Amino acid sequence: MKYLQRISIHDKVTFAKVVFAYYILLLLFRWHSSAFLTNIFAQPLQSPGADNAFWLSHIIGFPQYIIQQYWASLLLDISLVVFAIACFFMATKKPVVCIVFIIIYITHRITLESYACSHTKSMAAIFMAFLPFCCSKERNFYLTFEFSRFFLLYIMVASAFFKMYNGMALQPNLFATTLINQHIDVAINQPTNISYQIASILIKYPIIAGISYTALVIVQAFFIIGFFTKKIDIILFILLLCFTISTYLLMRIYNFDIIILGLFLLFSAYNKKHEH
Amino acid sequence: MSYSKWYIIRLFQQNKILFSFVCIFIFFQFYFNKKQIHSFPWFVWDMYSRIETKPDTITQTAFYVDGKQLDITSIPIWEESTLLHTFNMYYSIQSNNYKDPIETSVKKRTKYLPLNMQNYIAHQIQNSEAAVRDYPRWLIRYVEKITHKNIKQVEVRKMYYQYQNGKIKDLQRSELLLKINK
Repeated sequence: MKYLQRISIHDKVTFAKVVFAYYILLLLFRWHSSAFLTNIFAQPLQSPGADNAFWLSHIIGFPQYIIQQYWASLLLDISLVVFAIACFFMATKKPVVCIVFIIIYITHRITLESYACSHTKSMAAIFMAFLPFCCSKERNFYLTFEFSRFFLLYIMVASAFFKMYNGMALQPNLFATTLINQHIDVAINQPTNISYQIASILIKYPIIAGISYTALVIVQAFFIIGFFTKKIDIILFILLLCFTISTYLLMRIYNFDIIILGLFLLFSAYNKKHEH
Repeated sequence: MSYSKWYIIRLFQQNKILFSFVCIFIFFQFYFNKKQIHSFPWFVWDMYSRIETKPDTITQTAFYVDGKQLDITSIPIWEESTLLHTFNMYYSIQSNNYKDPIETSVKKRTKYLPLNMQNYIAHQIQNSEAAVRDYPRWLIRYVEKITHKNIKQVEVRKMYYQYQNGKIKDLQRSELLLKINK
């Protein structure tokens, strides 16, 4: 805890650097995972789902054009990286750079997700993390910053709420079934995989699976305290890290994108002087 | 408790435009939660909240490259997800007589628009038969890219398993979903 308190996220400029450095790390991971447009260039099937933003984009026609033109896919991939780096250096000085970056980011993600036939929710979390840097006035920056912080709290609390509302939290022992369905590929191809090793213990003992699931719901619900005080933001940040790592290890779910909003918890803890 | 310290009150006092945006955002968040529709940036954060029942048989979509099963857990998560999700999309349309299942939603959402607008939106949103027929060629190129090999044949099979006494039992039953020869 004392080590964390020495992290020097004391000002807007440092904070911008931390946020965009983390995003550049996420891009590196995406590059390693071939999650760029040029990797799925010319994929013919689109899947806008029921998403209105995706529908609007497809009605305008830009995702179809971008995925069919290699130069357009490449240009958008390069622009995303270049503007992320530009934001690292000048997001707080030139908010317009961040606005252009957000437009590129949304265009990129809508095209990518439409043609990868997936719909990842982390897209919204990353978008929210960039919003404060579009404000030129200090006061607006902090107001938007607080909104983004609340958005993270909402994500966690809503996840806990839906687990209760949809019934899974009331029958947590059935989490073992979720794990069986989740790990079928690993169980067949790589039974020695660490995720499956951990999961197989929980599958064998549904009571332990139930306790783990209930603990997960409690951790998510705990974020509700963040709506009333910023005093435990560091604890919430640590819980978010634990949540992300444990879901990756246990269920192979990639939640690292949401950590970018977790940085807002760190920053808010050290910027009490800006509370109005 | 001092209400003036509440975020929403401070926001109203300091920036009315931002206050309006936040109110609109909150309204649509509730709206899409109620409708259970994911619409960027309003997602329903309900992952792993529904009760899953244990099926009698478990199925797996397996990719065979030149006769050998591709270990999709050995490739990055995003490539694995792209392979599975794009194939599922292909198979859902192909097995529906080349009609995109999204057609029903398109008709429902555009029913009050003029006919030419309806046709235009359907053309932009739905997958055409030509696009579906083009997919196998793209799939073989994509598998070549992720395996770094020249490939002659890709087969996609639905494999059947059963979970018994803590182990996955192969039922020695599979169904050929797609066969592509280069």
